[in-house]
Amino acid sequence: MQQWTLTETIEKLQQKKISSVELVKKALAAAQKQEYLNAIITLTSEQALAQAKEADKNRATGSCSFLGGIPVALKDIFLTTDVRTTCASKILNNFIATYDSTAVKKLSEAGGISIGKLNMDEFAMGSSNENSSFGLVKNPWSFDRSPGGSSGGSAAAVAAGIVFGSLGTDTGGSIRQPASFSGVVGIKPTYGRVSRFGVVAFASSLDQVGVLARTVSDAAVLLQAISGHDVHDATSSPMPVPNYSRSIESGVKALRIGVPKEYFSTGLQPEVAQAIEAAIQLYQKLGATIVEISLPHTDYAISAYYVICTAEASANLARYDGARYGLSLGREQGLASMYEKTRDAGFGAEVKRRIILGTYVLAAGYYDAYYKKASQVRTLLAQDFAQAFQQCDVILGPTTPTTAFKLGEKLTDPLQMYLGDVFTVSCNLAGLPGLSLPCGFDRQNLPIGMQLLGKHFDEPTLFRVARAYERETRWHHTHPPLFSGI
Amino acid sequence: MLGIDIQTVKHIAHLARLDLSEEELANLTRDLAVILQHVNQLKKLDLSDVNPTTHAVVEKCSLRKDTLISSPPLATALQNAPEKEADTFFRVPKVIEK
Amino acid sequence: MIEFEAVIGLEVHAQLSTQTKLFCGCSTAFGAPPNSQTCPVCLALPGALPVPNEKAVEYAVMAALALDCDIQAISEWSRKNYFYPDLPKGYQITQFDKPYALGGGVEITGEKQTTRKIELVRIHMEEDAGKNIHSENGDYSLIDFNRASVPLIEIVSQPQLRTPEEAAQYLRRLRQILVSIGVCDGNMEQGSFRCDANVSIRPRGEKKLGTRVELKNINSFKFVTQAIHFEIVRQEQVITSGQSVVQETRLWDSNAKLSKSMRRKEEADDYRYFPDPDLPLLLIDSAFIDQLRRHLPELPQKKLARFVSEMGLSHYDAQILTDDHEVAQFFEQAMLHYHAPKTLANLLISQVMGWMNAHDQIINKIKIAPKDLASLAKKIDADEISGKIAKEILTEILQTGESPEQVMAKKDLIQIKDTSLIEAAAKKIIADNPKQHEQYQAGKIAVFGYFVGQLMKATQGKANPGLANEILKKLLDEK
Repeated sequence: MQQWTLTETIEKLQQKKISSVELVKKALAAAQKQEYLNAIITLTSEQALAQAKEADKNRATGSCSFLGGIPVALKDIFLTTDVRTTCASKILNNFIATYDSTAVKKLSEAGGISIGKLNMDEFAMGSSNENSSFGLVKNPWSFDRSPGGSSGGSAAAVAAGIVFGSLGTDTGGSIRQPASFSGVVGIKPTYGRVSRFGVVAFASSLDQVGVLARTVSDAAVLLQAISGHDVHDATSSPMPVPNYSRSIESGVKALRIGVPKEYFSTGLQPEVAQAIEAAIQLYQKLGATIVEISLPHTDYAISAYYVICTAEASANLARYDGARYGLSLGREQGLASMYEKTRDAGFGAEVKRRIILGTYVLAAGYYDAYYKKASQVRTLLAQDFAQAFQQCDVILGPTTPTTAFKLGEKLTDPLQMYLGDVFTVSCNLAGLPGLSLPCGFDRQNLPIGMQLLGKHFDEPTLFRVARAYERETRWHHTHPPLFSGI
Repeated sequence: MLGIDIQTVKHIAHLARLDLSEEELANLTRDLAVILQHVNQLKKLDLSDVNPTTHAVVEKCSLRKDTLISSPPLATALQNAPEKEADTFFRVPKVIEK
Repeated sequence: MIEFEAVIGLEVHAQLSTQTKLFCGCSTAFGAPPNSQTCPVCLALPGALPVPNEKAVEYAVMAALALDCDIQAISEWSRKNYFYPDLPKGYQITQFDKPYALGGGVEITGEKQTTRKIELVRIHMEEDAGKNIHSENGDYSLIDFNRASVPLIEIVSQPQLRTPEEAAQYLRRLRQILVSIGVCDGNMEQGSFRCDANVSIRPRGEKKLGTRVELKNINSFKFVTQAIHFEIVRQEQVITSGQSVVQETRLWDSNAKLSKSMRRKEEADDYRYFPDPDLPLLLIDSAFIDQLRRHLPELPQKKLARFVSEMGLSHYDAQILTDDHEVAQFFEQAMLHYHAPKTLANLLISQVMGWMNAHDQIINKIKIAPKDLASLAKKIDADEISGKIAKEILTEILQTGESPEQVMAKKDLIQIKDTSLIEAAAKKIIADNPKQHEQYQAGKIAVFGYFVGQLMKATQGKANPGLANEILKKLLDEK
């Protein structure tokens, strides 16, 4: 059972070789055993066991959901009715959600059973999961390293084998980068592919819900469950959802894989460069055509990203004011005091930094110089990709310039932290789907991640190209030493 | 481009309703300067013919029908209220003139 | 002594009468228990998202069509950012850079019946805020979010109004148009039609605009002229005393009948407008516009012109009938039963509306149906009843709701057409009034009216007037 994939486990459930209750119990036990990772903010054992019982009962009478009662977990950014939803922030420390996010509803209806809410960088702002009011998360591969962020808990929980898969969100790389650091598969689908209703907003035009899992097929199955149009989200796409798994084993013959030259001139850790190089060669061997492409505005992506995401965030976080829910302080000294003291005490340093930056770039006198310019650069980046995708079907490169950095290493220099997102942010700005999968280890046995970017709504090709690589390698069977492996 | 000084950051903090300590103000001023220094690279680009993008993928706003959806009960609306009045209203402090 | 002229621009917020709110499916019904019409979206819970109401867009476009605006094929939603307890998201969703309608205008009638078009700058859609109720003694406010996210259109006029009376007329006309096409109920007291005024003054002949002051809290038509007039006078006094008008927002106090400076909450707001990333572009295509244009109800000015030209009514009467579109509707329905515009107009205006005013009733609540008014009019024209009787019948119907036939039977108002009866009565009167009979026969024709009056009195007004006249004449002429 140590290494069952999600798809294998679904089969075992259908064959009644194992029950949902057993699976959930094992997941809860694993969560407890690996508590030191600090991946979980709120465990929902009672609800999970009740749902598992229900799943087993349904299976006995022949009416079973397609996932069948698999244990999963949710980044604490998803609203879950009657369960605390904190976004890893003091300001929502005791907030009990009164409605469900659509993605969670869909996953539950499909038979995914959440065992709890996962740790993250506060309000999804961060790349290391060190910005949580519930403390940092440890990378299962090396406890003194970051698992990545902001979906650090989501990555750690999957990497450690606590759950089969988890939901995360990705605004500038927050699924792909932790997936890369933690040695799991992570996918951010096309913007609008999955509903954002009930997902605490960070940057509305960039946020997307996605999935972390142990294998490419697992990720495809989970993403299938949550994709589709939602009337509650005006940015949700009405495009029909294809079957992501249908041609997943079709290989890469005659496909063109683009390699951006700009991605290889930016201070890459040597082992990362080598691993990607090896992957390129493997793809060539498998029959793909490798094309050198250019994404000329790559250097400007971080600047555009941090202007746009902070601007949107500064408005999205204005609702946390102590009036209707959440933390509320300073009321005795009047309204202004309530606003200021609540927000000062409720938000962590990184959140404040981004709110200040975001407010600044929208302020009178600065709007044209910053926000407007960044929005224009966004157009240029989209054009870069449009051009590139005329010459190739997917774009390949490293997910991150380095493997997981040490906890505490990047905290003193916010800009350095931001610059690590260089390969992931453009994808969000252009709304393209992006997938990260393991492609090796460095000398310190830290996972290396490879990123694939696809055309809008072309998730099937992404999965197919990723799977072609995966089945020729053993990275997805390699687990950290204390892997629980339910 | 205007320099980033503590006064500016104070003003911005007020717009964002953040009551920052002197130390926080100093740190943020420094951080902002460093980040904006990097962001200023955008000035190098000729953007005269480029339209801004707000919506990268879904261009047209989908609308909904004017059909009544029953609201959740009052108790639910007030469930997380830090202060309420008669289980009916949200209560907040009044503006106090300094 | 410098002569000043006032420059006035009006900003009207009209609530669109949709069933649900602008961005969520909560009800917009007025007067519901506080916070009972709320949901995660209009309460701005974490993770909630806005989805615009199609009918609100329809109504907004209809308003723009009725006001002759240029409707934009592509418009954008914006966030207007500021902190206030009645604004749950900490920003209002509005339309800043790219509103859905530009230009347009409202016609007003100036002195000597000259018409002038007051041009509009723009119209845009936006959501309303909740209601902030300040407690009298306590240090707190109570918030009701029922009104949060109710759909509004903001109609901004060019500063082309020159007098408080013109401003009131503009408002009345604007309101009339919106109500007549069914997109707004125009209820100022309930807040579905609000007005802010921008007032400045300048020396007559000066082209540059003076400093303008924004006047808020004008919540009835009565106060519009009062408030603007007060402000003009105040500004004149400020300037003639050597000072300058301060650019500020002032609140109208209808009890004290003066405007007061709004205490500055903070420095000038920087709203940091930017396009709302949760809402893609609003696309309004020409097919949609054409369809709405085809179904747009007739506008008041057009109706007035039609009443004059097609029905031969006086401009004065037509104005009264078309001023309230429900009155106009009543009139036209009555016309379907009996096509007699002048008789109907007369009855409706002098009798029915007179009664309505005296009893403070609106036409939708009165107890007479259009078809019954028509039937009464028919009887008058057919000489079956006199005008006086008709008035009696009408009053009874309005009070009881019975049909004309019921009332006539009840009050025994059925007309006397029996010639022998009339003759008998006439003969008696002539016999009782020999002196007048002599006068008549001597050539004093005017005395005839006396006999008519007496005959009517004797028959309680029920004698058929035509027959009465005929019979009297015949008898009086007899020697």
